[in-house]
Amino acid sequence: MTRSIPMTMLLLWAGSAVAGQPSQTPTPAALWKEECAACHMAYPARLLPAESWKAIMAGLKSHFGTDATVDAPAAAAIERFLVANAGMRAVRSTGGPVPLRITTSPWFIREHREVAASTWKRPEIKSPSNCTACHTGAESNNFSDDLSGTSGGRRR
Amino acid sequence: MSAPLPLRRVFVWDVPVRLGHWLLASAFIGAMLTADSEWLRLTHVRLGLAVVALVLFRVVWGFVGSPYARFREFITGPAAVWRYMRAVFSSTPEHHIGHNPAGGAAIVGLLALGLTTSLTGWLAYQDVGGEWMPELHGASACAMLTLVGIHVAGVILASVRHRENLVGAMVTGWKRASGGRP
Repeated sequence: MTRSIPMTMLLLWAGSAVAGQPSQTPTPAALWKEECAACHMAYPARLLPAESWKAIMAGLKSHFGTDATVDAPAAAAIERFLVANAGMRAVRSTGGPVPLRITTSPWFIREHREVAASTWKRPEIKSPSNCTACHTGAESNNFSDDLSGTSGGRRR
Repeated sequence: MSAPLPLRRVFVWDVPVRLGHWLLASAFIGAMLTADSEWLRLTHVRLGLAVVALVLFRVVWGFVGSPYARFREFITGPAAVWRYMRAVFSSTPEHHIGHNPAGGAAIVGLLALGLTTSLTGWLAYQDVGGEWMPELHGASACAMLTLVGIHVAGVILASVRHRENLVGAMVTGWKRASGGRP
């Protein structure tokens, strides 16, 4: 009797593992990773406010010069995921359109003020949007200040 | 050993005071632990917002809460704090059912520092105030951590001197009221 309980649970688990795999719809986080990382690093939602993500998702037809259209249900799920996890920094009312670039955010500029202009131009870096060139843990959401794995891009 | 005093149990800390106390302590500890992590920045910001909500609630509760929760019951001024501090080290520590004057002063300080730390943190997160805003936020947090340390040391000292469990009282709400003045 008591032995049958773990056995039943094992069977249930095995059954669900087999049956559940193919029909499972991907989570919003998985969709975000899959679609965004198909072209560039999947930038964490907290790096932009919700307004910016909405504007980006509304303008995927010309996404920084590229058609990055995603099918509608996936786009809706990704937008919900981004908005739910967005940063809480207020968008500065500059009168112009909602800022879309992480790299022109005031906090981004302040955090990278010690990085020399020549460093950005290095062939292995190329652009401030290339997070992983220096933040080796960026893909797994780690942007810590510890850049010991890099060749020391900071201005002395 | 002194003669056993007649024991009377009194209900001192109402639910909002106790819940607010431990939630504030948890939010502060959580915020300290997430302070340096870029990865957990939003968690840190949310804990700071929780601190603001809890402090603002406590300020309102300090006017409309149950008698021992009210500011006028435990805000005493520096002279009473000094007298209490001297008494607590003497052979006849003065006993208070509610907050003692030093505890009352710690509450005022912690509420004020909770607000300034959260406010400077929010401004720093919003890139307002330039280079010195994060510095101010850090200094305010350090001052708060120091006062938390003094508060905890004071609770331990008073518990020993008065032979009562002040931590337990902040959990259950009940305190032992013996002889002495209220």
